[in-house]
Formats: sequence, structure tokens, C-alpha cells
Amino acid sequence: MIDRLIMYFEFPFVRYAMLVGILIAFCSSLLGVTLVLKRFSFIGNGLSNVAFCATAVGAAIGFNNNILFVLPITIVSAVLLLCSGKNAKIKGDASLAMISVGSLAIGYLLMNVFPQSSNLAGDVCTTLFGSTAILTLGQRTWMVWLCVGLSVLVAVLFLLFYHKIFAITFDEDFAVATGIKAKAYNLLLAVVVAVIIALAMNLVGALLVSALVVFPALTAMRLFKSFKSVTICSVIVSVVCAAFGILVSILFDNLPVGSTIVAVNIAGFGIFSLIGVILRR
Amino acid sequence: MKKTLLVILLLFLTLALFAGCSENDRAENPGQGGIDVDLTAFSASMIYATVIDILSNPEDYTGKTIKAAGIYEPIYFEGIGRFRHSIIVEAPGCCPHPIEFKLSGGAQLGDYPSAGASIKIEGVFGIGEEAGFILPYLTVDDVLVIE
Repeated sequence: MIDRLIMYFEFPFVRYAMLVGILIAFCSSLLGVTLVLKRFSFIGNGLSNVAFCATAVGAAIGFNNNILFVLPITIVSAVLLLCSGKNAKIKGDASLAMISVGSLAIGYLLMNVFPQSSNLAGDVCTTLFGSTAILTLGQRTWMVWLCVGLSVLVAVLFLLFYHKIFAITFDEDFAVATGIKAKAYNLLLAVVVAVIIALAMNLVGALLVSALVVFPALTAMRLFKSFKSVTICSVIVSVVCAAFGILVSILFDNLPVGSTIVAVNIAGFGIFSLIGVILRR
Repeated sequence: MKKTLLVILLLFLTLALFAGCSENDRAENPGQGGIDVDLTAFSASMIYATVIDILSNPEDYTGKTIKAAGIYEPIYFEGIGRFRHSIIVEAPGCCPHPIEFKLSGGAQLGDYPSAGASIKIEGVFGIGEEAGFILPYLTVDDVLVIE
């Protein structure tokens, strides 16, 4: 098995898949803790459906570099969702549900009206569930470097504004009272989340993105209590699960990359929950 | 906290350098028995990804020996006005991609198996051009029909 893995890693596209997978897992888990604590766990799903719809629109109007079209649309949607505030006419989960299912429906409709290949079912399957899309980065090396660049940007922003993010995560009103520009930081958060979602779609597909945001954070929370320890543990859990998921899916037959990574995350959550019960945390 | 995350980030950047180096080393290192890429020994996901890579970056595989198993399918290509004798290698349900192969030595249509037959082939990869289309294909000496 080790020989087989070594042979696989001689292919550049396998190394790219591992690199991009780990970077996406790293970024999604960084922001995952904040999103879970702010009760925005499901925003990943909503935004990924928007990204799915944008992918379909981009393909229909002939955009070659689809990510450059998908990214701004996802960012605008994230800003609308995360920054709509308490006075919005359609509140909280209702606007999220509306955007989520609306985008999914329009996206699927456009893919049917403007099919990009004779294998429509395959295209939809790949976009929604990731399938093996991440293993085909060999023909899109620019995407790998875009992912590296954006991941560094996300990490740097998180490190620079760590204390501000911490403040708006736990008590936004108090943060405003202490002079923190909560709206600006929420905007920053929305942009970063949108970038992560647009990237993560390549790894696990539109329907499974939420898992990358939610599971590592919830897993870490089984054993750790402070924001700092949960964030660090969440990053480690997410990266390990993504790497393990990719390895398992390329080693064995009939294991799509995206759903295998999510399954490993679920297993991780189960193990941490069990340890939490044993340690009575 | 910041130090820990910085260390993790630096580790990833090192990984990025590792991932980016020696682009074509697989295609330059022949495997066992003179076969450079043995698709019959790969998992389904790896078969799919490798076939996509072969068809997307054919110049990286030119002159290499590739072994594959799958279903024979003659696919008519209007652009060049002829059937392309193709092998559709096993891949995840949604995503099969055919690779054209040509029998060496001026083979006739009757030398090819019947459509839908399970076959195994081993041949040298090359790139041809017809009617302005770049067409990658395998040149094989023999087609083994699997019962």
C-alpha cells in the first residue's frame, strides 16, 4: 500500500490535490469556530449553492476562468447574508434558506438549458459532490497557486485581526461599545468566508462544503473550551481528516474524495465525543 | 496562538514548494516491465484523474507506454469524419473518458473487437493531427479481449 501511495505521489496532480485539500481544510477550520459560535453554521451550505449557481451562469455565458466569476458573486451574497443585520425584512435563516434553495434550483435549471457536455449528470455530480474534481488540478495549475495565495491571505487576516474576530464572535454589542467597528469586521468575515467556500467547492463539492466548516469546530469543542484551544485543535483535526480522506479515496475504489473527507470528519467527531464522555468534559 | 498558526502556515508553504517541484517526474520514470503508466493497477479515482491528465497534457506522456483495461467503443467523430477506436477505462460512475487506440501494421476494421467488448491494451502514447484537430492516441500491437 505504501508503494502504491509513493507511486501515486509521483503524479503532480496528486500532490496538487493533497496541497489544495490541506490548505482548504486549514482555512475552513480557522473560520469554522467563529461561524459555529455566531450561529452561522449553515451559511457554508447557502453560499456554496450560490457558488454552484454562479458556476452554471459562468459556464452558460462562456467564462473560461470560472472561479474568477464565481468568487465575486459568492462574496456579494456573503456580504448580503452576514451583514444584513437585525433590521432586515427577511431575517436570519429565512433569507439563508431562500438564497440556498433558490440558487440550487436556478443553477440546475441553467445547467440543463445550457449543457456544457453530453454528460450532464456527470457535470452536476462533480459540481455538487466534488467527485474527483480536485484530482484534476494538473490541468489547472493556476488554480493551485490561486488557492495557495488566498489561503495565505486568509491566514494572515485571521492572525492580524484575531482579537477583533474573537470580540465580535462572542458579543457583538459589547464589541461595538468598546469601539470595535463590528460592521467592518463582519464584512471582512463575509468576504473571507466566501473565498473559502468558493475554493472548498473544488474539494468536496457544493453540497458538502458546510461539513468542512462545521465538523472540525464541533469536534474540537468536544474536548476543548477556550476559543484559542478550540481553534488550534479544529485546524489540526480538519487538516488531518482532509489528508486522510484524500489518501483513502485514492487508494480504494468507489470512494469519491469529497464524501470520504466528510465521512472521516464524522468519524473524528464520534471519536472526540467518546473521549469527551470518558473524560467527562 | 499567532506563533502556532504561523508555524502551521509555514509548514503548508513548504508543502506547496514540494507539490510544485519536478512537474513531470512520473512520466520520466518507467515502471515495472517497461510500462510507464499501468492504469490496470490504479484505483477508480486515480484512473479517472490520470486519464484526464493524459488527455489534458498529452505532451507529458508522448512516447510513454500505457497499459489500460476497459470497454471497447468505436466513437464517430464528425470533425474528422471517421470512427475513433476507443477504450473507455473504468472510472467513477459519472465520469468515464475514452482514449483512442490504433492497431499497428495497417489493421482493418475487422481486426478490432466488437463494440462493448471488455479489452486490455498496452501501447505507446502519441499525438496526431487530423483536419486541424490534435488527437492523442495509443499505438498498440494487440488487443486482448477479456471473456
